[in-house]
Amino acid sequence: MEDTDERVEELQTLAAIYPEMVIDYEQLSATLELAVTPTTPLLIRFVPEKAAQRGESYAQAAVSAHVERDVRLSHLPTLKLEMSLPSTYPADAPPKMHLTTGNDWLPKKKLVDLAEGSARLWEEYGGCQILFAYIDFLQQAAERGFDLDQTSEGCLVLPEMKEKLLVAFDKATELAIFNEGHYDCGICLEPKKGLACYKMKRCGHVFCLQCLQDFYNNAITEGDVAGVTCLDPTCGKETNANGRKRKRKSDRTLNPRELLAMHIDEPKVRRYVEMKRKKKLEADKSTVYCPRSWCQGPAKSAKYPPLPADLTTYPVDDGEESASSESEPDSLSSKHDSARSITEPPNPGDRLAICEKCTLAFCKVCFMGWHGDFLRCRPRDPSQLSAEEKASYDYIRLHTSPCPTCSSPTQKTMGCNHMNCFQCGTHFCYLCSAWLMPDNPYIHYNSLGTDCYQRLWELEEGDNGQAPLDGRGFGGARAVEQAVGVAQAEQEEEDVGRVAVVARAPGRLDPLVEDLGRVRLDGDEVPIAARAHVVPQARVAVGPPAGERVRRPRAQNPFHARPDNVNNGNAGAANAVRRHERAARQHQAQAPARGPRPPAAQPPRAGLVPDEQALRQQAELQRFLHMAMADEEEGWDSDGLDEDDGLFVIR
Amino acid sequence: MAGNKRIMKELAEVRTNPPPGCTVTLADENDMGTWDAVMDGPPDSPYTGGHYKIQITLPKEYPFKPPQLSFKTKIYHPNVSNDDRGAMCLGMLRPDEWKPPNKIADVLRLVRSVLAAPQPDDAVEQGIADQFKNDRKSFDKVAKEWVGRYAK
Repeated sequence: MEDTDERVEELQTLAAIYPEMVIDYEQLSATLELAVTPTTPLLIRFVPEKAAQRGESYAQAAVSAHVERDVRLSHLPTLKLEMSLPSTYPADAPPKMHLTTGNDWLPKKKLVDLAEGSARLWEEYGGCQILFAYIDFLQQAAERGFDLDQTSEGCLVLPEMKEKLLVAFDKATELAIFNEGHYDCGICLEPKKGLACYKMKRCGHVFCLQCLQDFYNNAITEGDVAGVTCLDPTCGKETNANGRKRKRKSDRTLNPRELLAMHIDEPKVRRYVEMKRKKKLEADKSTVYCPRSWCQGPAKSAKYPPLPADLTTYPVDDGEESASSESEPDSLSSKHDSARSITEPPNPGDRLAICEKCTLAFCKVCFMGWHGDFLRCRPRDPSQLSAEEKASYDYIRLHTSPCPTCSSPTQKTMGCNHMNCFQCGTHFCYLCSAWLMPDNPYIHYNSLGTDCYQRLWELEEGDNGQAPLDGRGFGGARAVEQAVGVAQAEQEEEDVGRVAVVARAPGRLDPLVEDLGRVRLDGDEVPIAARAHVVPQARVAVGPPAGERVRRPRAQNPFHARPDNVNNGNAGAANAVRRHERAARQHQAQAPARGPRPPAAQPPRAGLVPDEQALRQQAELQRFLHMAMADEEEGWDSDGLDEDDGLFVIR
Repeated sequence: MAGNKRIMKELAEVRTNPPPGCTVTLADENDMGTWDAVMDGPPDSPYTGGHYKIQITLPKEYPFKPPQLSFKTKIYHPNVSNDDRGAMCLGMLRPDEWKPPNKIADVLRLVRSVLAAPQPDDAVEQGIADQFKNDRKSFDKVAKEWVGRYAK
């Protein structure tokens, strides 16, 4: 009687400690489920079925080169302990233990070993009541992950069929724990139940679903794609702090799957991913648009795959990582391309583009319907712009500044001249399109001697689309390019005639000869280009010394908004476009020489000592000669031509 | 609107536990969207002894959109525009930098720290910034003079 009492007593004590324990006092047995949450997440390697079944060691399985995956799990299916107390327990016999795990994830050997632990413990304690001590022993073992990292493989190896179940269990448990909790939402400042909250996947910040939905719905409706990031003020700042490895803001935008998980409506989420993709396409200068004026869709590109019909299959990495890392090798490969193009013409197949909207197949170079690989074609002549295109182009030229990174035309409606490109996030100056340091953009306006010194607030209310001629207008940062264009045009007037004679002289024999003529024409331009570039520099230098200049009144915009002789009519808008094109090409040609990210279109500096300036001009000239030589060869390079085209395509 | 509830909470918090040197009232008890703050010039700065009235306008989308700040008391400071708008250029208040969990109290704390330590490289008033950098003494003098003239 006393014996039984002792066992019953022990079980009753345990029942008080573990209320979830199921006890059968008749049979004197009990079952208890123990949660397995190792303090450090358990590393599990899932290997393909066959290898695991054949009982090969992990090493052999690895040799057979199957796909295997290492997963770390913090929550594992429970360890079920069934104990029965024989009549001789505790004095003469240890309790009988049987262990199992949900989904059989723990190897049999380990389970048996753990079960035998009870007998060892019983002996160690000298035959007393050991049930509590044993349960404690199991719990501690579970916290250590059952020492599975001490095995020869260094982790638990399981057949891959178990992966789904175990991962699902891990997630479900995590969610259940999260839902049980209470959180203070930083937006509405209310305490909320976990069930009404959402935890950001990347950073773990928690906000309530209502606030997140309100915010993201609003941001998506307004088209603010870059705003769809974690809302925590400190989030993403750490990466900015360590200088060079600065992540762009768009890199932190959320995956559409997260938005869906916040119960944001599918059409909204779709709009978000569509806008995000469109932005990337438009910010990419290599994107080619359909020549049909009613379509103007982007050409299909492997870099920007079409969106999946089911957004839950949207790739996790979002292409962002690869896009940013691609950009460097890309520029390398394009360098390689241009190097190659000197010796051989570009692969004609590269010219084929297919519009993703209307599926028109067209040529990237001449923007005509696809003509096959073997036809030689020329870039489209900008003088053939339609009236509508001309009008838009003129407006863009007179009232916008281009972003130095993505060339998106930007119009300021109000505020200071520090611009932040909505398309690609670049910081730049509205007056001169110079690239500005994101950390301290204002230094551009605060350093003596630059052309934009003290002009941060110029044109504060924007130009309201007014023509620059009345003295209020802006003229656009392209005005510099125009000034170059005008000077160049004057020279060109004379030279074109001369070159035309050279080109025509042998007669129109065949296209190849004509091309040779063209090449010579480019060569002839070298001094023109150089002279043209010098002209505005001299002009600006005539102005008063920068130091004496107090804030300039609006009327004195130093850039002639519209070159006079453009108005006087011997050159129409189309010609201006062509000149602009040429100037732009020179700018592009210049770019690589200055390193990867030049402060684009940096206007010439006023206030230099004359000698120094002469030297600078000399150097400038030298460089231009080089560039122009390169340009001569690039006459073949379809890449370069594309980029030129991008500048006049009206979006 | 969820925003109103939050504004009420913030207001209650700011009233019971105001940021140092600040008192906040509603301009109009029926309008939660306009706050009047009075900020004392931080000690050890030329603005000591001055009381600055700052109007805070909360857009109707607040806290999703940043509040707008304007100094109603004239102040001689490189980061506050010297006109009737009294605008202050704070990175935190730029639409693309603003995060909803930021609170008005945080904004006021930042404003006060900018009063204590002007940021001439981020200036709105370039002339004042240059003076601050090159001729600190006369900057301090004018700033103090303005305190006496406008901010008592």
